[in-house]
Amino acid sequence: MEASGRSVTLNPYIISTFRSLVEAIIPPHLKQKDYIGTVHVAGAQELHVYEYVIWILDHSIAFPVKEQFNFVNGSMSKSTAELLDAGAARLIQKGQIFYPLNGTAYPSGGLFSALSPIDRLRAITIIERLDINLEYLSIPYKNNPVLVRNMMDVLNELPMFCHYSEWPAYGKTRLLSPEYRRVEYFPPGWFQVQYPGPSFGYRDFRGFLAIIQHRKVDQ
Amino acid sequence: MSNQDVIVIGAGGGGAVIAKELGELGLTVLVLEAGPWYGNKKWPNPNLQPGGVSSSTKDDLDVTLYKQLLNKFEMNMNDLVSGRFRWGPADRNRSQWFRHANQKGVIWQCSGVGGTTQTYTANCPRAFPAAIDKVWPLSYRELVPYYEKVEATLPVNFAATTAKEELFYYGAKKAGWNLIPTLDVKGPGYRPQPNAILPPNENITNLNITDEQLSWMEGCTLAGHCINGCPHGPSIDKIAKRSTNVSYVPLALNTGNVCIRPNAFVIEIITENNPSKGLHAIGVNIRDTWTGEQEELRAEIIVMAAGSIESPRLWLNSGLPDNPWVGKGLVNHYMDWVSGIFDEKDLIPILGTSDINPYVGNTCAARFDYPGLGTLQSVGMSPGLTASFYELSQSGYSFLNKPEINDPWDIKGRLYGYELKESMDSYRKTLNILVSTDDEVDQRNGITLDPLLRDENGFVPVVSYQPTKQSRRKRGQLVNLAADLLRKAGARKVIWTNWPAGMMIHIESTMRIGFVVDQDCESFQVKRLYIADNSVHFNSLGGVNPTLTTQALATRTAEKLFKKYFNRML
Ligand SMILES: Cc1cc2nc3c(=O)[nH]c(=O)nc-3n(C[C@H](O)[C@H](O)[C@H](O)COP(=O)(O)OP(=O)(O)OC[C@H]3O[C@@H](n4cnc5c(N)ncnc54)[C@H](O)[C@@H]3O)c2cc1C
Ligand code: SF4
Repeated sequence: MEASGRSVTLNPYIISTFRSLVEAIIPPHLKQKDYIGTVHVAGAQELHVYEYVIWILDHSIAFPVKEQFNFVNGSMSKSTAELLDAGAARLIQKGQIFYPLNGTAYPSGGLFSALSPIDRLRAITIIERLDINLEYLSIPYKNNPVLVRNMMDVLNELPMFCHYSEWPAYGKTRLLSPEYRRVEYFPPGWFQVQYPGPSFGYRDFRGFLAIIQHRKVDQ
Repeated sequence: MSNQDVIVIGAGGGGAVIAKELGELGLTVLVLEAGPWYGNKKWPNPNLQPGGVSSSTKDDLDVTLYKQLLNKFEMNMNDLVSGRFRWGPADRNRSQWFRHANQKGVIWQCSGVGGTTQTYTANCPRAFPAAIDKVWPLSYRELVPYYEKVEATLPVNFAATTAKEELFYYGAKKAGWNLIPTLDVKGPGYRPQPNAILPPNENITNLNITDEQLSWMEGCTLAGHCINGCPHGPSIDKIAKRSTNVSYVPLALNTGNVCIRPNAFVIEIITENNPSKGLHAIGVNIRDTWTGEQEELRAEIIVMAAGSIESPRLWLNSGLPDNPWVGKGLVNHYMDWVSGIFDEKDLIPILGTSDINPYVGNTCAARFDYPGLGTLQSVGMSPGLTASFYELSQSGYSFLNKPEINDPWDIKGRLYGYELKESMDSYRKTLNILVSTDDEVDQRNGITLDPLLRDENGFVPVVSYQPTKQSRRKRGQLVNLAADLLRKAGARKVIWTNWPAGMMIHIESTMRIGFVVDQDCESFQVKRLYIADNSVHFNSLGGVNPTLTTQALATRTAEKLFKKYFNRML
């Protein structure tokens, strides 16, 4: 079954790669508060956003289609991690990294996670520009430039949607099938941007700029 | 013999409307809908269990269940892979239905009773007259009585003002534009959104009534969840945002002639060819999305209202006659996204408040229209959706696109890292503008079948779209107008995201009137087969939101169909 919930990979290579991805896109930061000094604002990694990205990748292609891609036993998250590594390899090969590689932050990761955060985004840019050999990618990216390019937007969009939605607050239920998830606390991403969450209504009614006069319905 | 006069495929923006109109004319109608039904007692756990088979009475509608399902949490509702509003089977344990996109972007449609109007923001402008007259095979005047009927039925009103609209109007006025308080737009100007949202209840400012009590009364509560799904109102048929599942569907059930069957994917149109009737539709094959069982159903007339991707897909998968325009000519308003971040000191004199609070009020309640170019609309959404919209860019990360001295934006491209956090920290002080272009039809764009990939419903659709030169030029002008409006409103920082071409939110024109269907929306090549969704549009309506026009046409088509096949005397 495709989306049987619970299943998110335990493969440390895949996890490291997506941890390093979401860290580069939504890093933690310090925010100046008027009177109390600075506060630490959690980044996407702390909110486990990479797990959502992996879950979505591995639940997004329906079984009959996977079968025809010859991808039944394949994992979309694994192929995508390898795609990111291909971009990293190319960036290194071109001698364009800004900062030296660092294998200690993500010991189980590949080249992508050894790059500095900004270089990871630059590796994504290289992939986006299709400056990699598409022949050597794994299915479904192999010789599929449209999917490769599209995925670079998706890999940015998914962490953003997740981080600033209620997903992190699903807590222990976050990797269950959606029908079984329960919000356990106020979502941190909402707190960060001061969104009050689901509402019954607001009273900020400022009148009407114009009114439509309807004709009678009956002809 | 068939059990019903008409089968309608799809209960979305157009299908629900034609079902209600035909039911009122006394015809028996079976609506087949691929997705789930939220808020009907026969499906108490619509995403977990198969539930009942069909429903044909308003007594089955249950507003408490509806409120429980549409819980206003954005991941639960809007996630395109596993949310309640997705293009996929009711069973959320299964993946969404596959589409093959040939360009960057997002294909945003929903299955289920109400179709994509479940998530739509209910903006209901009429087409620009200049986009119809002497272009379509119908005149604008011919459409007006049908517009009026839909506007009165939904009903459509000018949106109420909250802070974000006030700021938008302020910027538009400062930029030198006039207020155009009209439904028939002939020149540029700004106006409140004509939308299918019930005006706020008279108690909206009465603080003796709690917010929760208010949400059980009739009228919009300005809760700002339109795009997440609106659950506010005393009964299903009085829900504030008028998606078709709460407007036309209850009216259709009221006629006593309409039966709706969710979880039924139509996989084939069945035809017959005989000398007296020629090639004509006689029925459909459906597949139950829970059990996989197939079944053949027959009717005198078949109406396709499966939306601009699935209607052509179904035509092609059914092996209906070749036509060079089937699936071709897709327009999507070549959309874009421009945001302004404001400072408290600049907001207070205009709004009297230090924040805009984009989550308050209708999602999309102010607009600027420019016939010949397109439209700009204010948008305020929950933060996850807001953040994700910053990420879809044709030009990659913003660090690759340092602005030139004369550029009207400060940031171009996808936000990342600190810049992104800073923008999200300013979420409550941000006004977003959706750019929607008068997109030109090009036969190279559209829907074809993937020659190899199939799912349980047939070969999967391939969606291809590249904007024409004209569309690019127009979008560029609109982006500049949006940046100017924000600047004049006092924005400290303007962000141009530069969306990719494949943002499929308004998908139209893939089974065009005059090419695939005749003036009355009956197919030229297969008699007794009609179309009543966005796909029949001749063009992109000048850039305005498409659904009202689809609904006006569906109302007209019901009348024409009835006259031709059921009552020649009308
Ligand atoms: C976020 C968002 C906001 C929007 N806001 C607006 C707005 O404010 N104003 C506006 O005018 N438009 C808006 N739109 C667009 C609007 O939703 C569409 O124009 C409208 O829903 C189109 O109606 P339709 O009948 O063509 O298709 P749909 O509403 O998509 O309906 C098609 C129905 O057919 C069903 N179906 C498909 N194939 C089959 C099959 N083979 N068998 C059985 N059933 C099938 C589908 O499940 C669906 O229910 C918005 C869209 C999105 C995504
Ligand atoms: S603002 Fe939108 S979601 Fe809220 S009550 Fe009004 S229509 Fe419904």
